[in-house]
Amino acid sequence: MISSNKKKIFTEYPRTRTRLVLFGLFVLLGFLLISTKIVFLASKKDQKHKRYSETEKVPTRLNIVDRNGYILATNLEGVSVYVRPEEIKQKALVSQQLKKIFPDLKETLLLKKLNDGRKFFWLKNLVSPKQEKALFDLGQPGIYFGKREYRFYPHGSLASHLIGFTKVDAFDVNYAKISGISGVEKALEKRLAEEILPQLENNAINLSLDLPVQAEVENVLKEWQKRMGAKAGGVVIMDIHTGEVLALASSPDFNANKERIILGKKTETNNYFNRAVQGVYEMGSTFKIFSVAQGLETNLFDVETLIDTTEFRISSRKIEDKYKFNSKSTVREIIVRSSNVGSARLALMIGEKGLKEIFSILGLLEPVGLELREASITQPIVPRDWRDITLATTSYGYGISVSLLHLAKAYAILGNGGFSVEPTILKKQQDSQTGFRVLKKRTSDEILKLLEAIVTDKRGTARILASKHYRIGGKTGTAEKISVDKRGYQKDKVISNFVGLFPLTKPKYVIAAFLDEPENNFLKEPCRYASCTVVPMIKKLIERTGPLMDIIPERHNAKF
Amino acid sequence: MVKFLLFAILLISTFGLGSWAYKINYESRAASQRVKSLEKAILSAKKERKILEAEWAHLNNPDRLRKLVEYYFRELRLTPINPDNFISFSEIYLNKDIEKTPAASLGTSFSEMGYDK
Repeated sequence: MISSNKKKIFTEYPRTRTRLVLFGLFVLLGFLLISTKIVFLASKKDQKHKRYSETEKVPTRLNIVDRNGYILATNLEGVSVYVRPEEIKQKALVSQQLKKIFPDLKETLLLKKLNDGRKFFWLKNLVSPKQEKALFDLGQPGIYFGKREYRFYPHGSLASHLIGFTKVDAFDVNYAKISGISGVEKALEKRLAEEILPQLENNAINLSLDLPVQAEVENVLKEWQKRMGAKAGGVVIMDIHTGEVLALASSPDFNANKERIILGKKTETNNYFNRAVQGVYEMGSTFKIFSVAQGLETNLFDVETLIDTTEFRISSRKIEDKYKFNSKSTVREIIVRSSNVGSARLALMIGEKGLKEIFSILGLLEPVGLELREASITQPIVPRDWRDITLATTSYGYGISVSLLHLAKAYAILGNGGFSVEPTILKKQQDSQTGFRVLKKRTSDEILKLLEAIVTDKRGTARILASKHYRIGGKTGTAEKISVDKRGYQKDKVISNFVGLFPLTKPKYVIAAFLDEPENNFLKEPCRYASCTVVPMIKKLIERTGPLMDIIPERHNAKF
Repeated sequence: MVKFLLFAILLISTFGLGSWAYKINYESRAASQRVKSLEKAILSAKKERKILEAEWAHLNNPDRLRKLVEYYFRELRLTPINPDNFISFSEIYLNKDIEKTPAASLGTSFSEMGYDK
């Protein structure tokens, strides 16, 4: 019935079939077009409609935290202000209002900037929330706020040399790129500046630094610097097995939060110098232990060997002691009472090769491998030719200049059983590998006994360090400073230093400290030797920081 | 008849599917809106946390605490930690009567800590 009807229609209207087919094709084409578009849309990665949090890549910088997770440096969001003068009508009024909020701005200059036809200028790089509110309350058009990240150091000047500081590298209306200039900020720039998505968990760089210990160290250092009238000072506390630096202080220091302002004016540049890492000084008697270590290592002598300690001359130079020694003294006595003559004799016995070898093993001839750039550019000043006089003087710390960190590293190797160690500012895993053996265990044990004798012996130069709480061992050093105007040394200006190891029951930490031009005026006669300037400071430092580093006092075992 | 039934089923299922797709579409849009606003909230919470952490660090600044301890010395009587503060177990003075005083005033009582065994 239906088919006969269709035939009837097609015969009556012959073009109907064609039209229907064409219409069908048209619909099919449209359908295909739409479906291809759908497939295309679905497969294409949509760049335009990315999520808010995905697109907003804050050019942030990682936090720097200490070994316990205390924040040392963090990024905060601030606000910068810029102006579009053409949108401002009452220019004189606005410049008056702005002057009220920012008293440091010059009204005439501001008015000039508003009127000279420019389209845009920066008013302030970073404003406080209070100033931001005041600006907002003006309700003036043409004043705009831009997001601005800035670096904040919650502890101000604490560990400022180690952490370093930053500058703003490039900035835009909504953007500021911060990069490090010194300290950790510079050394770990790449890791700190990794572009991370804000939704990721807060990553931070863990330093080996211990904030409470650092705070106590700086406090004691500043107090003693003042007491001793010293120009400057530095302290390093380091783990002798892992090389982790727990405290590194240099005084005078600076407040990195105020850096932005000071740097431009170039004032107090002296404060930015990291004395513990960058400052190379002739260290004096703290070097005496090295030639002894080499002698013990090569079985040239032992601690009881008698050495001639009468004064003598090398070419025209007289080698003498400040105290009177017997004509012959044991190696132990030479170290305990700090004899220059004995030390020079030992160095001559060891010879150039031996002395260079021990200096090289202990890392005294090259920069320390600490991550800081300040450390890697600090080359020790080493004598060019090693004549007999040079051997003699370097054995008691003259003619060779190293940093405090060099000394700490050298003593760490002597004290940790003879393993190589490289100072680091990064926190290490507990099971991290120790270095390779560079000295015999026996040498290290003997050296530790000698260092303890300096403290426990009645005539030892560090006898006032004897503590009922901790077993400490260490060597004092006092070096006259080289005169700038004329040849030779200044008698009244010295670098006093001390390097010690504690607790000796199970040596764990090395502490190195120095004071620049100290003078103890609390005694009958003014005293500049390390034994009366730095050593009392070390005593205080160890008693204050020992409990913080979980060292349990062992007064029952201590000898007095 | 069969054809009509088939036609009716097709029609109903088309409408059904259409309305289902419509519903899902709107739900997913709403969900993505919600995700967006939640992400915004998370981001601002994280920023806030960062500020609070910085503030906490600032408040715990050892120099600041030292000044506070000095200022409130009469009330707090806090002194720097000293090796003398460590004593051995044998030196701890244990008073048996301490058991009779209310535990709240002692913090954790000694018996709980196992010190008197």
